[in-house]
Amino acid sequence: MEPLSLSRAEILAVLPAGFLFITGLIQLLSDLGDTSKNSRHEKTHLAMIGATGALVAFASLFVQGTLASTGELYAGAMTDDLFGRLGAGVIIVTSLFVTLMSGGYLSSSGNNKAEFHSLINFSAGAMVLLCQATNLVSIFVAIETLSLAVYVLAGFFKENKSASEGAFKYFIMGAFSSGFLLFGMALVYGLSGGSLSLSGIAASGASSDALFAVGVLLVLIGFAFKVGVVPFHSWVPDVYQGAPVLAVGWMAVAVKSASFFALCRFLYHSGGGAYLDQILVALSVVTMILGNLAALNQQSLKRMLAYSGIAHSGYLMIPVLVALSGNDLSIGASLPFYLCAYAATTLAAFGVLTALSVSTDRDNIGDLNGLAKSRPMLALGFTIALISLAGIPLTAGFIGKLMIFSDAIGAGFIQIAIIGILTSLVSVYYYLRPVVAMWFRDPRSSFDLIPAPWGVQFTVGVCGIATIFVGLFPDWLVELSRISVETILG
Amino acid sequence: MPTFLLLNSGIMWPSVAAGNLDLLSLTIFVILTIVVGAVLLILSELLGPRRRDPEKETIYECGVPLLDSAREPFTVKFHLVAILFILFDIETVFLLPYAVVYKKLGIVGLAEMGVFLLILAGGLVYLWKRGALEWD
Repeated sequence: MEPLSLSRAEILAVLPAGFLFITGLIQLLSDLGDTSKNSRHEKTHLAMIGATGALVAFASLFVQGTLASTGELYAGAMTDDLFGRLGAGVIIVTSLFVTLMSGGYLSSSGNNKAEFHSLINFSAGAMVLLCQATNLVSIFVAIETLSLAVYVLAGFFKENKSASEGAFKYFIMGAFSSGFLLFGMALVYGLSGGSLSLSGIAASGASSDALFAVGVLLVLIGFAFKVGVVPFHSWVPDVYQGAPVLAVGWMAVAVKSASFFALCRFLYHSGGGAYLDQILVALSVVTMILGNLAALNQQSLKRMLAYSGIAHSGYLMIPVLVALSGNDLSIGASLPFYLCAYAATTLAAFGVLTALSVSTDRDNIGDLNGLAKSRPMLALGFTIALISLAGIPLTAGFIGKLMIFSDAIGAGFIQIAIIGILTSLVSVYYYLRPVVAMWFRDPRSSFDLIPAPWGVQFTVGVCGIATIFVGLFPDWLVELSRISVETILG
Repeated sequence: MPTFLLLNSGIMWPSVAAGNLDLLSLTIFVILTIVVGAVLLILSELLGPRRRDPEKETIYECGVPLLDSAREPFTVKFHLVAILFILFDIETVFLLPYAVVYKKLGIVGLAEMGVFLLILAGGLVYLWKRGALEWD
């Protein structure tokens, strides 16, 4: 046996995740001197370390210096293609913004501990690995690592009863879904003749086997829990309402993006199996309808965004389905594009929610009354985010939905496209309710000024501008997404 | 490799093909083990003397006299100690297979184990500083 050696490409491939893990460790160790029970300092050094680490990790995405896939690295455990790097980019940028916002938010509730920052970075590192994973074991290990970190984040406010309840529910459901995932992986592994790597599974030609289809379906269920697809969504609203706003924003953007990137890679390699198309159609339709209808009557902004996130998972199933059934990966380009647009938009929305819940526990639509008069910039950013989520033109969300629905129509899934368009029309109602409250209602009292930490202002500003910019000039991102999905199969 | 003399001496064993000889000897060995064990247990049950006394009826606690019921609440700090024990126990478990292949893995393997141990050492520093090792 040759002595173990690492190629240059292998070392470069783990740099982004490695930098994130190291950043988390440094943050953890840098705050050991603080032994006080009640931490109300803003602790700018944690944000500085986190921001530096995220920027270095982001820069290291470019050092491989090639758009093409590097092929299989680490004996087939991971790869470093443009698809994985695009997902990693979304996650790293999200972690940067969450880090910048967390100082002001956590200190206001007396919970500013380094653990929050480092858990964000640990889970970010696991997500980056998940986007690059090309083998069943590395996919599972990455999912478990990120899940464990996010369970703790969801229950970070230990004194808060509803947060603990939500975190416990999330933990139980997550452990349950891991069981599905593992069972499915075992079936896929056995029926592909003992192949762990995704390319080996693709080459084994087992996809005509009915039991193989069951295995793929179980893996799909495992991922459906993570991204909140109906009927595996029941934990989403409770967890979103109880958990700290920033952890929710992190779950809504990063966990969902990483899971979709990995699901995409897995399904494109494993192939559909016999009945997968119909199951994907059913999941997507039910998710779009139920997510949007349930969001209509929510008074709590967090619950509304939870159901809206469920609905968006439904939209995101469409490109997976279309690309799988047509055997044409370039059709699936709308998925990475939509996830990038969704990340920018949702971060802006959760930035405003963070500002709203600094030092208070409020998240009702009525609490936004008159925000346009007191904090016009925050109100503008939130408005941009909401109309982008609703899919109104000139925003990134509109381009994303346009791509998804036109691809679906082009591939012959006209009914799905019609259901998607109708449900997004319904969604305009609940997305515009906060807009009306912000711009056309009077504030309850003139002393009721919502605080706005600098991190929140920065995030809402940058993400709002990015949403509009991608909405006006989408070509470069569309092209990047198209090239990236073509690198999936190497 | 042990083979039975009978089998080699030319007597035909109709149901046993040549390739299954090891399996046959193994089967006979397993059956013998079970039979001998069962016979010894049954004999001692039938023939052995039996004198009950209260000392013998108590729960076995490593020879120490029993204090009180085992179903008592105990401090949650034991839980933390147990978790920490598992953590560093697993560390040892990972080190043992490395000892078998450290020559094959070369300098890269050494570096990777170094990173692994460094991360665990960081964890130790963390929980030490956070006071997880203090009882009160």
